[in-house]
Amino acid sequence: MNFDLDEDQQLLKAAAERFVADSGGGDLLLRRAARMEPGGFSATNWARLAESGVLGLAVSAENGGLGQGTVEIAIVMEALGRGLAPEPVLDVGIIAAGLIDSPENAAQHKSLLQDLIRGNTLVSIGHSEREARHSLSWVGTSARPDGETLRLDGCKIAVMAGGGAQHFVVSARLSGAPGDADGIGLFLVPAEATGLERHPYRLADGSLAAELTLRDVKIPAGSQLAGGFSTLKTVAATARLAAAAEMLGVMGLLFDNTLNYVKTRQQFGQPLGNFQVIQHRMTDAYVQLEQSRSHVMRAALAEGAAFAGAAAGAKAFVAEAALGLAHTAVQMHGGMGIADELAIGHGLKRIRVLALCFGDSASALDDYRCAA
Amino acid sequence: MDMSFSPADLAFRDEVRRFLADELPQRLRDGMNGTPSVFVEPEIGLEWQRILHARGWLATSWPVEAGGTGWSPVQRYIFEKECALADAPALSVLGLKLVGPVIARYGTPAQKARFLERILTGDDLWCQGYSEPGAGSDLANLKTRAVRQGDRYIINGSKIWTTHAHYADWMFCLARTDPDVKPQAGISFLLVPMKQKGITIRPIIGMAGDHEVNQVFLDDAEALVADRIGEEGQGWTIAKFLLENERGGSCAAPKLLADLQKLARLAASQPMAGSTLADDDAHGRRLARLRLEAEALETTELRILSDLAQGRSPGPQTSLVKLVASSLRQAVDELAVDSFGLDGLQLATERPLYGNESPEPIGSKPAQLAMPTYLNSRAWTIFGGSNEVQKNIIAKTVLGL
Repeated sequence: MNFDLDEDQQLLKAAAERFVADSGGGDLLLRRAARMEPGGFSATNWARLAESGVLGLAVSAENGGLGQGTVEIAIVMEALGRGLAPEPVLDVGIIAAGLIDSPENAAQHKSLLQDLIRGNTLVSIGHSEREARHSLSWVGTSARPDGETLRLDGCKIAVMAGGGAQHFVVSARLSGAPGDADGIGLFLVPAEATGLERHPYRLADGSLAAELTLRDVKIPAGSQLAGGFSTLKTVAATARLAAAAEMLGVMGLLFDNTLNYVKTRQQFGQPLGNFQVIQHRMTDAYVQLEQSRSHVMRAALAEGAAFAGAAAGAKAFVAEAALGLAHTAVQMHGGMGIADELAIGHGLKRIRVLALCFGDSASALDDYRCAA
Repeated sequence: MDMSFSPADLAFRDEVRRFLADELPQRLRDGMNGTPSVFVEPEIGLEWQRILHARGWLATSWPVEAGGTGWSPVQRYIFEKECALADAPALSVLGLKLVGPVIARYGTPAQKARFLERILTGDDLWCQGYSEPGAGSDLANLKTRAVRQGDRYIINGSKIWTTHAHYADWMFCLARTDPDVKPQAGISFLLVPMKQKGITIRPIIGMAGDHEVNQVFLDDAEALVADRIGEEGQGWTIAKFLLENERGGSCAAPKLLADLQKLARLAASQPMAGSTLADDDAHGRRLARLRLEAEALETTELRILSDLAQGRSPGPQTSLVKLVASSLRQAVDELAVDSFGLDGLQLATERPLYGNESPEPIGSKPAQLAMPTYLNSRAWTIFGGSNEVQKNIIAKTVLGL
């Protein structure tokens, strides 16, 4: 029974926090400037993350990654959350890399994966569809084998970091009907493929997402990745833990800023924090923060078959707690809370996006229920 | 980072499990499960206490020299968890967890010799004289007055919400010995015999029909100066030690999780318009949310345990455990009432609700227990420092507000 980080984990945490500090974490002017760069984040910081190996944090050592476990993922993601880092580590380094990283893909797609890890190629996932809402298995996009090629048709929404991606991992159905777990395949599609129409747009957190329309997109049969629905489920579990950890980091930032604000902001001749109604709201927020930390730790330490359920549970719990805390943070800041000039609003907007990563909290809760 | 127990701790857990399997009579388990109030009646509790005492496993929070087990924080946690999961009677904390450690810490050798052993044997039952009609959350405002006369104090005033005063041989009582200093400084910690002329007990019946608490009137009641713990005026410090000692480690989550698991299983037996409650998504999600909250609490409790096991004093998360655990207890008990549908409305006021004399339940025994358990459970966020007081404490001591 020991929740202390070991020496390597402490070093990793320090390195992640140093990255955030050195890359201007919390500096909203730098953050805005980064959002205006082509992919919606800072290319310089992306290169630094690649150099430190973070983009291959969870990728197996055989495929050129660091092969780190869930505790390490949580450590890094919390630090990035705390710094409101705009770089799409979750979408690219955890999710897209996770979908490609398997022994079966090593022969054919290792170089792409290494380009991803080195920060040279941006790959994002096109999975969600409007009709699916939050169902993981509702894939209507079709993939038809045609000789040596495959033809893809369909529409993908909320492709995170998709605005600047060079490749997409697209889920499409080889057989069966939407909702079937069987028959889903994963396909690598270059952004410039003929018939692929990309519509970039901004999400609440300022990131550059995309909607993809695929009209008879021809790709070589070799573009099919190993795995299908079960791969998606495995990667979704890791992504849920990572999203929960990142939300935990944002919560910590918002909480500390708000606590500091209510101690210094004077009204009625005294600090706001002197009022009991403020104290109790801050206490509620503190409880949510600590309970969320417990859930992230619990999921990060869950092993084997228990992990997916624990990650779904942590995501469901932390998403609700984080939104509650962010709303409190806005409210405690009064008018300043709704201005775009403080980290508070940016934190709320980032939490909003993370809260829908692989399902809203109701669907994560249902996955957690079913896993029990 | 690891959340697992060492092989030695797992061996200890197995030893506790074997002991519970062999030594905890079914009658006592039934008594525990059939008790809707916070503490079991002495006829159940004392029998279990004697069994534990015979095994040397009773005083888990006392120093070894006072007759304690000398267990590590992890062993204490494991023991408490296994007892809760085995439906062992929840023993009255008044002697064992509250006044016992106080006497062991602040008592004179003569006081230790006189009181501690009799707490363990169950020869003396205790009650707590803290709250008063005019001093609830604002405890320092207490008015009960103790005036020294020779070798004794003459005490006048009234104590309220006194759990099991009607069984108690002794009360540990906060009384004002000096009205002329600031409120906290004028309080002393006195041990008052209950079986005396100056003590009158008025039962207070709870809304479920249970007689658990009382009002106690002290009219020229007497306590020996020799039975004062600590110095005159040191009562507030001692009372705070008692509270902090109580907050050391916490093991509320395992029982909450076990109760939620029972409710999950129960849902399949509750009919619902051609289907069962287990198929109701709204119910399933409510249950799942509570389980998530309880799992977070369990991990928070284990984080505290990890600090204690590493020889550190626990971090600020200790303060939120009572707040979260009490609210969660209420939510679980409320879900239980709702799980039984209209059968959840029954309220049998006869006691006990276990044994051959207990009234016939409508529907099932758990259905009969749900409403009184829920009603009594509203006390969780009030006693031992209300949730509002807990929040004041967290705001001040943890958040620095």
